[in-house]
Amino acid sequence: MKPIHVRGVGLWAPGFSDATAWREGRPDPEVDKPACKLVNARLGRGSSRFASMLGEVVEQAAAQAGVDVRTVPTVYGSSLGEIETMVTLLRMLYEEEGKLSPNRFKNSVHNAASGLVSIGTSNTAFSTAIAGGDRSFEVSLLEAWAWLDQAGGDVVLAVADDAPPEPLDQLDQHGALAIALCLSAGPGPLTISGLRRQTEAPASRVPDDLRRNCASAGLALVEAVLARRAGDVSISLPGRAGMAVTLEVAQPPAGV
Amino acid sequence: MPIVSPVRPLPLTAWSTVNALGADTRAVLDALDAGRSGLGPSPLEVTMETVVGAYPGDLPPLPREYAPYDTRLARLGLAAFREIQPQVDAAVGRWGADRVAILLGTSTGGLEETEQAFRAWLERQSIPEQYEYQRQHNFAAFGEMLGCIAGIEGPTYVVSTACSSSGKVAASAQRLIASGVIDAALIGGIDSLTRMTLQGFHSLGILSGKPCRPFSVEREGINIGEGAAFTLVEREGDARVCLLGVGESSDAYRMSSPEPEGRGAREAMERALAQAGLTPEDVDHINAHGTATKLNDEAEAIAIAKLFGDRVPVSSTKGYTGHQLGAAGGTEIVFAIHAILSGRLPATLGCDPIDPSLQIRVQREAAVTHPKRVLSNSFAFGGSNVSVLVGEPK
Repeated sequence: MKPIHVRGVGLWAPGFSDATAWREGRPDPEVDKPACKLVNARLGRGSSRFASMLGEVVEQAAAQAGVDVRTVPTVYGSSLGEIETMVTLLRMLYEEEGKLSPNRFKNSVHNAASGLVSIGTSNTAFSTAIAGGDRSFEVSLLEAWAWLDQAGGDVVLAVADDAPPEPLDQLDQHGALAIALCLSAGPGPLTISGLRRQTEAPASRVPDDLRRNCASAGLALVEAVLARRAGDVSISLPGRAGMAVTLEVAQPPAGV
Repeated sequence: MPIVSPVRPLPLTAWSTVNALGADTRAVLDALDAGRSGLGPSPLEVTMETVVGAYPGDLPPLPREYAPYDTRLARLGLAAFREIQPQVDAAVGRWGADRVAILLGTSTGGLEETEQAFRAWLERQSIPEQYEYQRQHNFAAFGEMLGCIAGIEGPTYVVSTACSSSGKVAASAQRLIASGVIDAALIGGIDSLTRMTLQGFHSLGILSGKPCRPFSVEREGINIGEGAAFTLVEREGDARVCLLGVGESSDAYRMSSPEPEGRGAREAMERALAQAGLTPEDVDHINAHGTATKLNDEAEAIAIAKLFGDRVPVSSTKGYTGHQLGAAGGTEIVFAIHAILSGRLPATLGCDPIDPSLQIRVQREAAVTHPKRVLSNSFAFGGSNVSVLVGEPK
């Protein structure tokens, strides 16, 4: 595939409202729910924090890139998807004699964020929702990259998992994280190339509570982009087999 | 921007499906040709009257080494996969293990097992020991297992866009092949019946208590089905039927109802044709999404009529299998291939009396017309649309 270019990033995690706050490493306890202005309250009725996390980082990445959220194609990725909504519906199924909330039910699909953002922004462009387990970040990046390779233009890739709710937290425990990259087939100073396999992803600075969150596989790339640090970057969870890419950073011309 | 320039036809070299019509592909296609519905009473305990498309009989358990992955969904998937395993093995031998992808659609994953585990947790405050979220419920679990069984090491992932899922994987395969990432892909979809799905569609007021009646003036809603379907798509190979084009679009209208003029549906069909370098006149048959809800059938009929007029025969096969949600698109690609190879168009079960407001040519009876190219539509919650064009290259 042809190299692609990073034009913008987005990040949201409890305590961190955006990528700048994350980079500064100063959590704000007030940050517990993303603003997600792309989806208004009426449209978002019955939707989850997970969907808001994805909407929020799409907006951040598109804004940083100067890309129009009303027209840009989108690729969403997640391992657990709408797990909070599912557990809410399971409670209704067994505790309310099967009477499910229609708003919750229609927002229980893996592509709920894709639908909500497209409706909220009147965006009729290509959109998809990917699930790849622990490898959700790398396969979602692959889907976005292949789209750019064939269609050109820009695409926003957003990957997230919320924390598993009770009782599934007995089986899998981690914190919430959403990241996004606005990627482009066009020229740019931050180039991703060389998608390749790696037998074991190196250790990284991923916080302990996010080590099992599929989105944290993209943190090294987000941090390298923010720091404008060239080099090989793992796009897999630490210690797992997966993929790596190379980030090249063009230096501004002398005198600029 | 959609891909609008014509793409190279990709041979479809093997396919299989299991669903309410039968426990193997031959049984399914024989029932389709015979006009026999697979709909019947729900095996799951639900609070309303409905009929469903349940797999007939018992599904064999997974091999012992894959027991942690054992779910109804995995059993359905493996039953369909076993039929084409020799062709998949040959593709892996031909292209290399890391040059073959597994791209699947599902909307339920292993939800049925999670329902049981959740119920047990409510009753006993403990999750059953044998339940594993990651290897049973997680959407990626079946692909992970199938990769081990099939010796496939290429990209393995799920597209989960509700009812368009297993149509959209055809587009993913097409892009990955065109980009040189892979040479072949096993594409398809799997969904199993769950209580939540049935109760959920009931909560929306669109679940029919009787066998569904697509495009009928008396249609009352959908029936849910289950099943699995696979198609092997390759860069090169001997096949009469090819993947010619795939169109994807977003309605950007409502989460659970279509844009009323069928704009998104029409765009998906137009993009499939543009990719194939074909015109509406080149299409001989449409396997419609045709779920039998008032709004879905209306919007789809408007979209078809605007693009094709009333020239092209339109069938819905939901009256045979029920709506298999994430597996519907994959199954209907197999039905489209079968229409081309057998020359037969399926009747639209339950369509009479046809809604006179729909300006399309609904295929009432089975007919032998020898279609060369068939378009298969799948539209989903979130306004996700896909149209897949298969057939003989022009």
